[in-house]
Amino acid sequence: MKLVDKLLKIYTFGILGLIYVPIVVLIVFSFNESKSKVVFTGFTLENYYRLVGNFRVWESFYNSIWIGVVVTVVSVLLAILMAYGITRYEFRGKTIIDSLVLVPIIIPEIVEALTLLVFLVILGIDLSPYTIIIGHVAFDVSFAYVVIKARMVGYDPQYEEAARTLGADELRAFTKVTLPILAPGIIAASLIAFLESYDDFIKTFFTRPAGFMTLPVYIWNMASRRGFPLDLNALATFVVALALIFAYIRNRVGKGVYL
Amino acid sequence: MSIIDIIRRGKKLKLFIFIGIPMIYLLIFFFIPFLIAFLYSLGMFKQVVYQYVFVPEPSLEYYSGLMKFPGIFKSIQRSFYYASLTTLGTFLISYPLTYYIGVKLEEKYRDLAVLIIFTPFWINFLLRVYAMRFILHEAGMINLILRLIGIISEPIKFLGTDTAVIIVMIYSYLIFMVLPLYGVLEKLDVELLEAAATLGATPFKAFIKITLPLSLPGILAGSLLVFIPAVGEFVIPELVGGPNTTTLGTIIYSFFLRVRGVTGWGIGSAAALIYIVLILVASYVYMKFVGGEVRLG
Amino acid sequence: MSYAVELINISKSFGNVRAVRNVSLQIRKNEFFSLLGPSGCGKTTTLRIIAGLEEPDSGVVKLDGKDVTYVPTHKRNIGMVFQTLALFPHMDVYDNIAFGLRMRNYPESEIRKRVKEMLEIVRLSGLEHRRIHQLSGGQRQRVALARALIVQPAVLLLDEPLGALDLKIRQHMMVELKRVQREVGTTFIYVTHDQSEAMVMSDRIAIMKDGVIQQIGEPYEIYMKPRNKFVATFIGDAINMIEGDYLEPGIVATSLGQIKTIASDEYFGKRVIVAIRPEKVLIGSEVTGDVDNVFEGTVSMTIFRGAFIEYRVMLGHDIEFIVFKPHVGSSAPLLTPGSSVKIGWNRDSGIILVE
Repeated sequence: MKLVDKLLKIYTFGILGLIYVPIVVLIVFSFNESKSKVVFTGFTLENYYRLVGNFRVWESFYNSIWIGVVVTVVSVLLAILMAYGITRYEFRGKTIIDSLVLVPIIIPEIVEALTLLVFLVILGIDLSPYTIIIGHVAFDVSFAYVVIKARMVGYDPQYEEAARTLGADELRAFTKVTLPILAPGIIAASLIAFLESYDDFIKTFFTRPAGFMTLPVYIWNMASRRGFPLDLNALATFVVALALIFAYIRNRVGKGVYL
Repeated sequence: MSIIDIIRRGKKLKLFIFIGIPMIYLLIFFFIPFLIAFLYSLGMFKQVVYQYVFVPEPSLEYYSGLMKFPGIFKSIQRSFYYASLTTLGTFLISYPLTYYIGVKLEEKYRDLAVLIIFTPFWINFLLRVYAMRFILHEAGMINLILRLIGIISEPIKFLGTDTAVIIVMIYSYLIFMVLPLYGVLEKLDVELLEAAATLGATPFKAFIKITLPLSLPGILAGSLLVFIPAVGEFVIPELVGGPNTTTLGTIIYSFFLRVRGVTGWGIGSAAALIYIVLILVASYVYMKFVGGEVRLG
Repeated sequence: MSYAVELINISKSFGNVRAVRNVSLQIRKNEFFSLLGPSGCGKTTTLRIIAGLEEPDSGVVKLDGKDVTYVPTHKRNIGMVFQTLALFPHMDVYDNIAFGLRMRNYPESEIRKRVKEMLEIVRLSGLEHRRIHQLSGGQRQRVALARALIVQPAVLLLDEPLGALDLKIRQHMMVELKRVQREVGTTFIYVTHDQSEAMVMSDRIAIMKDGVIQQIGEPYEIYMKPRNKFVATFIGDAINMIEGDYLEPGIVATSLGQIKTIASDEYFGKRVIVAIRPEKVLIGSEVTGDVDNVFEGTVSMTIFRGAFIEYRVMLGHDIEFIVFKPHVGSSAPLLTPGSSVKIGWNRDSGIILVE
């Protein structure tokens, strides 16, 4: 069995390395001269200069960020309400409601996207950044709910009862005790909700107004022309740096000091 | 009575706030659109000038329109072929990986290992797909390595083929298999394996009789999380595939955003509904076949 | 004078389960009162009703003479130590203890002073800024106690707080709890399933079973005069019981023959149980001619229990007596299994129970 373990170890390290290969390649080629696009011919920073001067990229990036933030706040708030209600109260139809919230996770995104588009158009609602947000929230709630509920299920209601015996009314017991204890779960849920929105392509693509771009939509427009636009590689370097920051935050949050 | 007192007393009001508000949101922006799209696919909304009116006369014209679309059955078949191979591929790659991390690896390194797997997913999905083009290109890395070790003399053209689509899908969907598998394997009680050993089970037998059955819920959840969206994938076939890689997803996409118009949308909605029905049936059969129940989250 | 806590005909059901049935209790000021019973007997529910964490279906809860049945928990001026302790993991020791005062909007200077005093009472001075997960089990216990006591509650409710501790620390904490209770002079209501905890600390004990109070009394009284079979078996290490008919004054006819008991008219003509505590049974040379009830038996087991020796003695085919014997002299020979022995007890050692 020792040999098997050793092989497993080598395999695991191999896979962990392999999943980074495409990203490394992407970055390496960001320094490539653009004449021959898939063979490295010479070092240049030209792609970066073009990226910095590309107003559309930064506009799209800005849109992704602000939409992501709004979506995160709204969906996490809704998810907290829902998770709290489900774990604290007994009522009829609880299990049905609990599983209904999960349906958006199971339904393929492209179907969600087109049903929402049909719905908006039939109601005569003009597409806008807000229709994108509406769509993102509708499935981010479910992701945030899963994470927060998992945290709340492990949360001992005695904490809240203790606060009440010490003179806290229900509202203060919730804000002073429950929320801080659930904070790591809420932050984790926020990161997932943000990631889902920030990296969402399909729903955004279906429900955006003409000409409005988020980062994934911009990348799609560049990449779907079948060539090798090396600005995208330069953009990748920037995005990878961001990803590392997010990963770092996620790691800090994941190492909650308690529970 | 202060407002707080009223809230404290009124369980109904509390339930409305906690459960009602989120559910109303989902009802309006998720479930009702679903119903509307269903009615739309049955031709029950007609455009009059710039407005839609409800016509309570269902017809199957969009569905028959879809069936007449050239290559539709081939595309549906291909969608399921891609999704099945993606599910199988992600499972075969993830299981040893998550087994090692969740069972064999020292506990203090586990978080780090999961982080290493997860970090690429903070990089835009589309960029990751785009990156694979460099790898799969005739002058790309795979061809380069294959030529260096002398397996091939002429470069293989991956881009535009089924192989390219499946490789990129496996790469992209890996995490959805890894996380649920890790979830069950990490919780696996090693004492169970030790107990099996004291009862005379070889490590291999213990794995087959204990580890595998106990990881079944993770396998199920992972398979569905990969399979269901994979059937409708259209970004990957569009970006690394070609004319011979149309899928259910690319068909829905072209009807909605290329053909457009009431008919385009009608046929697109019909395709979406067929998609949902097919994956529901497929998931049901799969769960019956594998057994056990699926738990998300 | 009003009682610290008074429960009048409290009932509470959860679905089909009647957790508490018609419970009435009067708990005096500064009393250490225990609710004792097996799990599921309704003791915790009773405590939670006093705390206001559950609303009774019927009945009245009075604190210090005032009806508080529908007063919310945070307005009741009670303190509670929870089974899990429920120390807030995101706060340090100081903030945990200060929580109740902060909820009552005390100025920080006053809070500092009171927390300092309280830390001295529970002997935790110097640990103010430890995180909860850095404390030992016993220390956590003290923090929970301090946190509940600092608001100077009229009643302190304790829900099996020692359950998770090792035996040694538990024994130590029992004495500590009693000391703190004397020091702060607060009414304590203590819920436990462990009779030894209740016996050690309580002024009075209420024994519950299936939501009904079986007996209320001082530890000595409950031990010596259990009211029914349940109380007799639940309290104490063991008890010997023989069924029989009380046919004439002071005599119960049993399968072992006649047993002499104290005389009481209330049992006349009834099926009763004669119960004898193991330490009251005389054995071997102790059984002299003037002992009221004497029987021949065979030693079936000899168990060295440390402070005493436990003998199991078979009387006839199916009655086994448990006998505890302190080993006073070191030379006292142990009775070996298989040997014949006489056992006996005096009539006033027997307790008469009715089913």
